[in-house]
Amino acid sequence: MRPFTIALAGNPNVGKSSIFNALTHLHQHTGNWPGKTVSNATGRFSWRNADFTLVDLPGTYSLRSGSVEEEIARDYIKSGEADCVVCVADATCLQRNLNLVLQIQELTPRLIVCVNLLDEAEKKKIHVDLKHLSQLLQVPVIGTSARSGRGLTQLKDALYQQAKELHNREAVKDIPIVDSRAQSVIDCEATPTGEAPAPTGGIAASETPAMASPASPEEIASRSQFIYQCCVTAQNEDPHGRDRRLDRLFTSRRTGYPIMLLLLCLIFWLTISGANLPSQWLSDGFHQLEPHLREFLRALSVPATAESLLMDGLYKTLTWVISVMLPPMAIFFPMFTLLEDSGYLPRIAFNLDHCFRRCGAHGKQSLTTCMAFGCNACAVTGCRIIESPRERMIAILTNALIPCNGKFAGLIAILTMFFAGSSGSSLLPALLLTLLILFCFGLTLLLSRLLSKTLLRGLPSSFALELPPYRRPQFGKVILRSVLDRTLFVLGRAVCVAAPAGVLIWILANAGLLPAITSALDPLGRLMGLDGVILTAFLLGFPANEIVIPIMLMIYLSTGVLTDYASLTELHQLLVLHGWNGVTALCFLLFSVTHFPCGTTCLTIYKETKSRKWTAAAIVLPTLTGILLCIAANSLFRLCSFFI
Amino acid sequence: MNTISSLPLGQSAVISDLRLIGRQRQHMEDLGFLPGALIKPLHRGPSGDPTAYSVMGAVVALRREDASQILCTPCSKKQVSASSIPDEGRVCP
Repeated sequence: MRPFTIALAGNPNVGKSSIFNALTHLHQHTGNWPGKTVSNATGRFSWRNADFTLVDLPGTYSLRSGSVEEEIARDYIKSGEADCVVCVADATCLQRNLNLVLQIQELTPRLIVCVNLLDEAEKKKIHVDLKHLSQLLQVPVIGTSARSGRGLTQLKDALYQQAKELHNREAVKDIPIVDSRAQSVIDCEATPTGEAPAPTGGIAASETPAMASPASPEEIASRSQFIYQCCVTAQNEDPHGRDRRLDRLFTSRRTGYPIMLLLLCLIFWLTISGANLPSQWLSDGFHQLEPHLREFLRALSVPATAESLLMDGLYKTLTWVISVMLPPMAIFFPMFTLLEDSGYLPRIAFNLDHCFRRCGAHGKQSLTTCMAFGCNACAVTGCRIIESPRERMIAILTNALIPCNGKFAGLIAILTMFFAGSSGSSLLPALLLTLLILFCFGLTLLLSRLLSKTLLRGLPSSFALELPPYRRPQFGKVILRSVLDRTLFVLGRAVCVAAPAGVLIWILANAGLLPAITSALDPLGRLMGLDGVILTAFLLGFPANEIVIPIMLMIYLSTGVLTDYASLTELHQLLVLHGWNGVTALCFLLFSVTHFPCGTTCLTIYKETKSRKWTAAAIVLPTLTGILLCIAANSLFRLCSFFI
Repeated sequence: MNTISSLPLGQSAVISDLRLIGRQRQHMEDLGFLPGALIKPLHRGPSGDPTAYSVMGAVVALRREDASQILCTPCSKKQVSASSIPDEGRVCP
């Protein structure tokens, strides 16, 4: 049997990606917000000796209007590339989901409806009569709860059934495909109910002729309304009562903002306080390992130059990256994913929308801003959820002002060393980091406003934000996945970039080129309250933000003074030795949140905008802001110290 | 003429028309804001805008200027409670 291609369609945020992951055992990132999947993802699986290719289409509300995702989804379904379409519907919000089911039914004869999130519907006491639904729609209907894996076997069985029939039909080529609808009635036997559909009576008979011509949205709505009333019964007066109570807590005038700030601060505090000890352990471990490694290299009679290259260049950079970055990331990522999973992020967008509206930007920019905390490059791709080109460009250009995860480890380290005092408490750095993030957010708004008044003038376009139901995050799975996928991914990237960078710097330093570069950049650096070494580190850190601090340390170390920088106190001593003070640290923080986006992000911006001009703007704009901010901060402090 | 932006929170209404054309209208209709659909404003953002509306079993937030393009007829309390169907999912004939 040839491989059978299945397209997964459905409204945004109904769990298509969860079903995709459950069937293919791939780990596409899922999150409880609409618009997570912006391009087609493909995966494969086998079931009962048949091979299936699964294509995860972007979530769409309909197939008729012209947004990018809808075009991708519609073109794919219409092209007939897929042998079968699985339309995933949310059991807790079935009526609007049925609109899409009916629209897809007009385009393709082979449809399976998968009613997902049945577990949530049960909790909300919403009952969906799957058998009746299957009879009314005249297609197989499978009920699933993808997150717990319920119903997946039945879904695979139904797909297998479709594949087998298509295979049989293709084998007998001269029998034309005339009555696909009659075919799907037979397919209904594959539904978990195990019964052939009863005659559907007058309803289906009167509905069928309408299917011949494209139905108007009103017709489709009244049909889905009818089906909904026949198949869904809610026992609760208000099935979404819990969501509304939570919404009142998270978005009201009195509690909305304080809770947002508290959560942000709490996450930072947990990250900083939780990461201290493991960081220490790791660096101690690496420290103890070092002499043994050196001995081992000597035993292999490795020349002294190579030993220095490997140990001083490579080993120290790598161990720094791992011991300083791994613990905070392993705490921060899961917590961020928990927030994503719970459905809180769209509420942040809801709360902050009016700020963006005043700046002439799109409300969904707050979603892409949240995504930027994870990864700027992902957020730039995510800007596709903003339809108006003007507002999308604003979101892309200001995206780099939000520090991504790669920058957090460095920010936390500098904040703790220079501003937390000797108390050792992790509450102060957490508060300061929250302030810094608020500052970044304010800067994003300011720059958005500036852009919408100058380069990208125009009125805000219409904005509609869906607030999905809250979901209890799957703690175990979230922690496992975010540690395995995101943390190790980011760490792996940092290591991959840091290792060659370490070697490069060692070579540059030993060839005497490094002092030339750093001294050339020194005047600008001094003006900005930094020095040439720091600016060089930022430039060399272009491939990945994670390695700015390691590069800086290596340059400092390569200029002669060999100190151990295993712990933060020793690191602090090293920096102070090289002329750092509070102002340097402040300017470093400012410049590290407002400089050019990393290489990956720049590449993504170019891919998304297809314009060198705008990519250049996305690089110049934050860099210029950063340089001006640093110069302003530095001169202000010098002026103050001059008078005091 | 009433628009859904002028509805007090908790007051259900039936959408009568959309003062929108083309893609904007389609987009709203796809989200569930169709003539005949029952909607209810649920809560507002901390600064009074946007407002979250319950429509076709989903919750969608709209800014005031967009919501003021959607015309509606408020339902009396009796009309809503008389219906056995959960009000969020209902479309008035």
